[in-house]
Amino acid sequence: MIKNRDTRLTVWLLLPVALVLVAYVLYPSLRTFIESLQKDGMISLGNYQDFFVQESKTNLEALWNSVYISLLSVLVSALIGIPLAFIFNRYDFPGRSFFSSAAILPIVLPSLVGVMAFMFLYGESGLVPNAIKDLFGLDKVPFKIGGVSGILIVHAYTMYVYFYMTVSAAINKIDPSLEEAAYNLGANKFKVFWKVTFPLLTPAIVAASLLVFMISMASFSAPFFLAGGYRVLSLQIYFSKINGDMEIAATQSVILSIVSISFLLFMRWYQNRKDYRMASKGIGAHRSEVKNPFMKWVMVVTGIIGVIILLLPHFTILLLSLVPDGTWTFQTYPTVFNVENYRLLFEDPNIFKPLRNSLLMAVIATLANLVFGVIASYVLVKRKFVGKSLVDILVMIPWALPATVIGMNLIFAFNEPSVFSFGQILVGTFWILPLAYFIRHIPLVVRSTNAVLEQLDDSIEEAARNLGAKWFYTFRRVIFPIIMPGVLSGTLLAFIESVGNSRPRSCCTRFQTGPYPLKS
Amino acid sequence: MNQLRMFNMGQAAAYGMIQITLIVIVLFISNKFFGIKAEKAL
Repeated sequence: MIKNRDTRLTVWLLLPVALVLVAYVLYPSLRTFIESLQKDGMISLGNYQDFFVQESKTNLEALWNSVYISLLSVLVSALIGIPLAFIFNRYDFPGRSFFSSAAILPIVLPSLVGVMAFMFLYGESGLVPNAIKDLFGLDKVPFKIGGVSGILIVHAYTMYVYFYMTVSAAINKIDPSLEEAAYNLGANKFKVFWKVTFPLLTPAIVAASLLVFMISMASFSAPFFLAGGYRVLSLQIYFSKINGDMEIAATQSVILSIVSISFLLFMRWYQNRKDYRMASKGIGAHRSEVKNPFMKWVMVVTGIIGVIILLLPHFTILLLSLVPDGTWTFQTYPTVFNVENYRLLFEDPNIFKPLRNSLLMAVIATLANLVFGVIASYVLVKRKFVGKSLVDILVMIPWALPATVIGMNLIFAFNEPSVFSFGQILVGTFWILPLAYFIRHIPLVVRSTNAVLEQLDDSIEEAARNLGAKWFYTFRRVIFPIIMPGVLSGTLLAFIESVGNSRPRSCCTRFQTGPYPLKS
Repeated sequence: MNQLRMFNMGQAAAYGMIQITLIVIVLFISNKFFGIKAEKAL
């Protein structure tokens, strides 16, 4: 009787989750794949043949450039993030706590305006090169960013944080007695690092590497604004769409999806390949105090310079926002400052409406993410059913797919009436963007809720049920309050991303319904 | 670059500042009221 009741509950919970995943993750991807097989009104592999053997080789070049930039981004981000994680977690010096908090500053910089800030800071007419030129009386600016190096600098600035955060967490979990045992057995510092510490950090480094690789593969704003002529696959998709070559755009989207999903599957395989658990006694990492006064000062001064560099893009955005329209054109430095831009943002209906649209779309998508994420996570963690791995992979796919690809998938799926869009054409309407944000952020809420639900003992739910509480009452009064921090952390991040992300917008919107960044 | 300045970047930057402020407020609330550390939330 109880087993039947439980099975029925699992089916009722699984049904909406599976329906949403099939309708808005699987179906749009399949529609793109089918579109990529269309050539001159026939079904063939002609588009793929063109992609790989085309005389101009533009697509292959773009694919190679994407992989090349992504590998370099991983390398540069790792070279910054890993040493920083060691310095802040293994050594103690004045201001350490402040500097370690400041190290995550780049993550609060929205991608589009972030790239803009870099152009105004370090571009040919940028504030920093011009300030150096004026200071030293040079004839021309000593440096400027742009092209591949520009993309790499922006990627390194925004992505080293992933290495820093994941490696910091891993360092703090290492039981110091393991390293002490190795030292006592006569190993030197290098051997202890190579044989004990590094293997324990491997899962964190691999996870961060793949995360950075996938984000770089999907990168749009940096190549678009900093290196106009440099071909990467995410930009090629956008240009194909703009030129009306939808079949080519579909083929490029499928190939980019295959590369990204392959990396997601590789990450899952690699993390499950070895067991990196420690028989820890629960002792946290200890920090050694820097005693040499000279080294102490070197670290403090380096920390202050680092914080200034990290804060410069944020200050540049603030500065730009205070410069009225048309007053900073050919001048080296801005001369007029006021709050006119903010006033217009809230007072001019033509400017305020897109801003309101942005926030409204983000709120709708986030509420949907909250409801779906909690149900999906509960089903995945606490219920047993056939095909769980498939549901798990479908939940994770939107995280692996570049936002440009998600935008293209939605165009192919919902540019004509379908049963999943309730017989409506969604492309060009208000609803396509909340849908895009919802799909994109499914994994964020599910993953953060999973983390808390996995630690929740089943006996808590059983106790409430044995005392006569119905499932929904148990869920509402017992489970939800316990898992709330995990749910909220994912939901808040989904909201932030929905407000800040501009890529699905550039693919799916019409001017009339567009949110803010497309209007400026 | 100077051509870029001809566009209304000020309003885009003002929108960016609103985004940054929103992110900071959200992180502050999640830390203050729910005990979620910024590193974990992000």
